[in-house]
Amino acid sequence: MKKLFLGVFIILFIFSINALDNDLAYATVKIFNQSQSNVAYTPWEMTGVRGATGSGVVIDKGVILTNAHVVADSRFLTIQKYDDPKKYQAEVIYAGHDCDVALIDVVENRDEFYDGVTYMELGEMPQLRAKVNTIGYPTGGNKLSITEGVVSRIEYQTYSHDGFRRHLAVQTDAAINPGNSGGPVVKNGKLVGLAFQGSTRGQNIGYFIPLFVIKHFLEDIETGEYNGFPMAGFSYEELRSPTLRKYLNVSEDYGIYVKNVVKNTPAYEKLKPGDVILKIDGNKIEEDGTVKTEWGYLNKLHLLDSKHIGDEAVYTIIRNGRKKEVTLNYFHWEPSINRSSLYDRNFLYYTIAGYVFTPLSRDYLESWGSEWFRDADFHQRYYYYEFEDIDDKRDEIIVLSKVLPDPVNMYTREFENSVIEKINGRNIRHFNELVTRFENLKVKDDVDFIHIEIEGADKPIIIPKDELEQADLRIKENYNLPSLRRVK
Amino acid sequence: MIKKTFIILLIIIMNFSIEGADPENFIVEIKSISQSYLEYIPWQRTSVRNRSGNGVVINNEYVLTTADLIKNNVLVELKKQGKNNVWEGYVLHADYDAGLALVKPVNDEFFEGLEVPEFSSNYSKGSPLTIGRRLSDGRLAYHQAALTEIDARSILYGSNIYLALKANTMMQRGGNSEIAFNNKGEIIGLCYSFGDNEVNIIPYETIENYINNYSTDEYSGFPANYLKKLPLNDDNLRDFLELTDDKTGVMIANYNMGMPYSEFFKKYDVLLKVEGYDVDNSGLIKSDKFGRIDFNILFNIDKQPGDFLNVEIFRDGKVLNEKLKLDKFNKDDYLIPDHILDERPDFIVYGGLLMSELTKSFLQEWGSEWVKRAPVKLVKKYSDYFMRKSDTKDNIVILREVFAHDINRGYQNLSYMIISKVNDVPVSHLKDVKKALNKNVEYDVIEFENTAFKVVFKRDEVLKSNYNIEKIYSITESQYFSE
Repeated sequence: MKKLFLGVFIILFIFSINALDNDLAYATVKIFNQSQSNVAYTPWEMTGVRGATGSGVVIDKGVILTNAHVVADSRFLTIQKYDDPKKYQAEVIYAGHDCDVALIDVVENRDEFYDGVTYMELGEMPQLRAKVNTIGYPTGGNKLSITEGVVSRIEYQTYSHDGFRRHLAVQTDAAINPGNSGGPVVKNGKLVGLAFQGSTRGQNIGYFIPLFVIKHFLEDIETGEYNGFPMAGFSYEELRSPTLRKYLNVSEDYGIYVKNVVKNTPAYEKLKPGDVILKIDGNKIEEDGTVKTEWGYLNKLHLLDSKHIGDEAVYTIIRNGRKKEVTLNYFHWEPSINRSSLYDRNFLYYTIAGYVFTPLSRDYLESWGSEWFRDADFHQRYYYYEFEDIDDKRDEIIVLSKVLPDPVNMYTREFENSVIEKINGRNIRHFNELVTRFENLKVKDDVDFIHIEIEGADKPIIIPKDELEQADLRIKENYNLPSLRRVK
Repeated sequence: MIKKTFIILLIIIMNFSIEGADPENFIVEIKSISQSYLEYIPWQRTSVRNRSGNGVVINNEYVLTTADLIKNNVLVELKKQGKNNVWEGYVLHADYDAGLALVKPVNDEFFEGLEVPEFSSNYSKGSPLTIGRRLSDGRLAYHQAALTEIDARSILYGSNIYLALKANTMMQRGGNSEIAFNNKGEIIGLCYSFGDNEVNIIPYETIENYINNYSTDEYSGFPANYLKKLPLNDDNLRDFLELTDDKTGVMIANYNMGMPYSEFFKKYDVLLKVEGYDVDNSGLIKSDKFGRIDFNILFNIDKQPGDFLNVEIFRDGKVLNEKLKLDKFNKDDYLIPDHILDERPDFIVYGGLLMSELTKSFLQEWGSEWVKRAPVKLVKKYSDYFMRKSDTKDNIVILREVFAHDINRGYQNLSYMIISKVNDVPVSHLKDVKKALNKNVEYDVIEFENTAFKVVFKRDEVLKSNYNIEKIYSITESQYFSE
């Protein structure tokens, strides 16, 4: 009798696992992306076409989730479902590059595609040590792969697709390999995250984007567009010194110190350098900048990530020894130097006499190679790291990215990769101003020369106006430029 | 028979090449025992180094050698050729910019039996030279060489540009005060560095100027000549400056402050002639003796600070003939000093915070690729200000690192921050920090550039902890200031 029971149990168990696996398998898709992007230092050029595969998960009809990095800069996208050799053409509907989540949908033979596909249910945030499975189409074969592991850590991590921004991420020892990206991580048959990145520094360190972030993305797109996670616009220092606390008249044993506030951001004119932030929306900010959550102490960014663009937050601060409350409205703003990698868009540039100007961005610096943070021109690195804190002459840093050799610019090629300071004696605040300034100088009769001053250089670049028109035509043709500019 | 003759002939030639006087009578051995300071723990010195090289008797008082040999010197030992006794000596004077130094024995009896050699500027490109090198057992060996280049360069730790020679030789090691003779046995210079089968030589012209200058009441050094020249090959730039094709010259880099002659030269000035020599579009002049060479050498080859130089400049479409008064080169003019030799870096340790002035030597602790590896804000400071000295800011003072202790909790992650104020006193020199910390306050407040974050100590608490920190980290002195 006992033996029989055991047999039934095993059979039932196997059966239930299989049924579950099948459901999961039919909700998991393989994604093929042909992508092409813009070259940051020669912005009129496109890279070669690159093919890559990733995974995705269907949570509803028309709602296929994957990583933004799987479908970034897409030129042609196809999806294959489980146990079906056919590829269906798809499109990116929303891409959240800051949180590496994208929503795609099939656009050809849609009903046929969704026939037989299962929809994975959303689960909950897993706790530490919870068992999870990663499902997808990683490298090493063509068929669906399922790996198993436990949740080993929950904290804020840099999302490498963006390169700069940090969000909540869950670390697991379940193998996550190239091709797994965008595939579901499940617990008890329910979706708990999207596999997205691994660490090359250790062993068995994989990360998935938890539901907390995915839900933020899904709520965000309900507005009909993707707005992204809010950014407050200030930097802070831990406030661990008891003496500094006393000096600042902070009697509480928590709070952080505002180091800098970026102009024209939600924090601008609301917070001031030197303020101590005690609470955000009533949540205590600990001396190291963390906040207590159901998943333990997390970076205070968590409070920001809990909000959407357009939301408000109340900051309890101490300013000049006095406690007060200020309300920040988390509006959308563009940083003056993009420290995040950009996708699905083309870089701006302006060419005159073979000199190519473009705004400084992370993508531009990355064109110096993987060691860009060392190899890139140090003026540019300096601005990349320190700009917000220092400059009131400019809103944007504009670089002379390339000199396309021509008789008109002979002897000035040494200026490639430099930062520009002035045009005909005037400081240039941003890229648009550069464009207007050049255009105005071109038509101004009493100006014979356009002269450009470069930071750190002692001689100016001189463009003789009488040669300019011919030179621009020549350069455009010789270097096969589709256009001399791409401006806003 | 033929072979024998050849050998005899060769020996005769070798002897002839250093004929005139026996080098043993004027070349002495100098042993320099040195120890430098560690930038990152400035109360400690490096291990002791022992180098030996040559000195040339100049008169009955001192011996000439290269500044490199006696850098960071603690003790000098002198030895005469073929004699065993060691004479104690000391560094009388060193000019690291020109690469030359004078050494003096404590007892003048040292000079008995020694004589003064013949110096000469009798050399030309391609002429044969003999290089006298010291062997490890103290004897002198001689190597054939040929003068390959006459150039203008800065010397090792220097900033100014001097006349410098380069000679090809089969010598495998050297570059440290070897003596260069011409084929008449006259000394034409001292070697200061060594490359692949070639040595660099400080020529007699610089030596003569150095000795002459030293012999005056007060050593005034060499005139500053670090003029940054910008080639004028670019037709657009020439048109912009309205410089006609018959004129050649270079544009002088425009610095607002601190550059030598910054008050003399104006923005977009073109230097056409120096001392009657035409300056070409890349900044060279044509000299009968040296060939085509950087115009900068005319500033110091036979001139001293205070002398005048005839220059022709092109300014605002006009040619101007001017007399340029030569400035003294002063390394203190540098906002960020280039190399600190013989000197101990100034520092203060207060509440576990190590504060000192930014120097190039400090940046070079990041290795030869320091421009890439050192903190970018410090590199930028160096690039912006290395030659400039403003009225308001003399030096850059940095919080280098924090020696962790309970008193500095909350500040232990701070490093390489530029200090702007201490106790409301603007900081442009480390001495300002010292002064500010002597102010009677309840709280010491240290502020930094580009951040609102500050370090605050309670004065009575920090004073109590200073001794404790020094003990824990074996800090032998809490501050040092060179006078």
